[in-house]
Amino acid sequence: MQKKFSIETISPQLQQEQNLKERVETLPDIGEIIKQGHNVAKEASVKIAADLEKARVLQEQLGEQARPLVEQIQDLQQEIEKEKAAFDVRAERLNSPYVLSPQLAKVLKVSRLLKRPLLLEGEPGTGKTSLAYALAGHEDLPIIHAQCKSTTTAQDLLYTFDVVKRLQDAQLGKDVSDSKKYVKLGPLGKAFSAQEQVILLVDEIDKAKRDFPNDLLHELDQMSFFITETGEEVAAKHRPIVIITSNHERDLPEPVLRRCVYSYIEFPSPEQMTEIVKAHVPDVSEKLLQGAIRRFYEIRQVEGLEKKPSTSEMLDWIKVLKEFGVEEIHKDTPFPETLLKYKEDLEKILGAKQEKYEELREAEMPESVIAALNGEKVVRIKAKSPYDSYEPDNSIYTLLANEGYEFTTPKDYGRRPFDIHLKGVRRVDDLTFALYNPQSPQKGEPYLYELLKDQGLIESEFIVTDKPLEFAEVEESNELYTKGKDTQGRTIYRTAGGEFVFEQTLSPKKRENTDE
Amino acid sequence: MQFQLINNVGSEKKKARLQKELDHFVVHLKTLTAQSHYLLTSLQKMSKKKQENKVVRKLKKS
Repeated sequence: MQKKFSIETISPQLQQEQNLKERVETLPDIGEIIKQGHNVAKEASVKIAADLEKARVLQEQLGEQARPLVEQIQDLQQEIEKEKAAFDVRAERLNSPYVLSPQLAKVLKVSRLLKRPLLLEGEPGTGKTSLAYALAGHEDLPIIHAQCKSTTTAQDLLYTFDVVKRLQDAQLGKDVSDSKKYVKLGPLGKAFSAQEQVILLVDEIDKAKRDFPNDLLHELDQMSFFITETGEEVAAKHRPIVIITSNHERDLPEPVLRRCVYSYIEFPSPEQMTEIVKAHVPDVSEKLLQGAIRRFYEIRQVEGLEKKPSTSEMLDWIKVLKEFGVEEIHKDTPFPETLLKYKEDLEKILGAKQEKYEELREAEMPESVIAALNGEKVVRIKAKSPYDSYEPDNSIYTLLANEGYEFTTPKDYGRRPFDIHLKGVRRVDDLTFALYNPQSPQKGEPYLYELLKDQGLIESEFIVTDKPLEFAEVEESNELYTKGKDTQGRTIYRTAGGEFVFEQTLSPKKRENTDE
Repeated sequence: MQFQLINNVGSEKKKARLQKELDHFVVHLKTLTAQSHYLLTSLQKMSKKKQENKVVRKLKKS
């Protein structure tokens, strides 16, 4: 039987070295870590701001001579902000759990045993970068992140020599004989000179120039390099664990491939995605999770999308859905902007939905049912009498007037029906209103809904469910929907997609006795 | 398919790593603050020297 991947089989010494159990109880969680980091950054920023103020006063006396030093203090202040943002990102990444597939666990083990860089390829959002960070958290190893850009050179990864600063110091009459202090090690240099084993992440190597990977071959093979300006050799004290990622924007040179252990990370299957979401959002309901996963993969299958949503977008989507109290997902896509990043893609996904509704309208499905299918909160408000389906209960007028809502009574303008004039609230039928969309409540009036419900002025609500309802009688049936009555005599609709819509009567609310 | 969850919530090593990240960040910020202070001190020295030169020049003139 194949052994499961575990760190114990790879680096037993490392585990023995760490005796964290005693410390761990006192260690803060991620929220506290970030908070503490922000506090320290704020303190540092205040101190540097005070220095800068004093420096500017001195600059007035000293003139041009003081400018380079003042600018350096200014740069330090900006660096604080950058470092703070970078710290947040690193902490979040290190905190993220990772769902490791058996294949990936295997290649990870192989690369560690062979002591070769692990080259991970795959479309964006498949978890290549996350794996390096998760491994760093999992094994408590420092991680050094080298982000490649089109301008990145191999030299940048090794070290840079600050010629400008040396010249500046020389102009100020400082001693510049010690060249070492002008050497700034790059990510590879830092990884080699580290006092413990580190994870070196060379991220998006395919974004760098064509020669970039070839230029690093020697250094990665030998695990050392020379600093020309000082004649010093930087050799790895502890061989770093090298993880290289690529989005496969271009093929990598063969000599590079030969030296690496290669793995292509496939986009997670729905099964794996379910595990990933559960790991990141453990308290998500099974109902929401299953609906969202189904809808997510439906969207990914739509042809011609500029950018298919990836894992990170899926995680954001679930967090937003949960935050806004969405309980389930059917055919709709609430908060589509979380998943789709291009206007064209949004139009494609939402447009398809609108087309579907147009078809239903043409097939004479009531607007109230369509609104409910669209995810809106549709209610029928209480009528004045069971025989009057046009005029609302008198107390609704009082309530709306007291709350400052504008409305039209049927008496005001002859044949004009009762209507509430409020942005986001729409009349879909006589005494029937789409008050708001629970998935984007800011566009409607949840408060009005609560108010009417609280006062017992809502007669019924339109409910959408994918739980099959039994037809006792079919009144109408076409390609798009079936209309009929259930055993309780309620009108029910079944769409071609298998969704059921019915009107649920609310039990009358007991009014509080105000005389007491 | 058997997936393995690593770096999960409550992992002791993860907590330790995060704490070390924070420690490292604090040290780095202290270095930046010290650099700023050093630059300010250099400016103050330059200013002091300028004032002294001014006084010397005045004395020489008189």
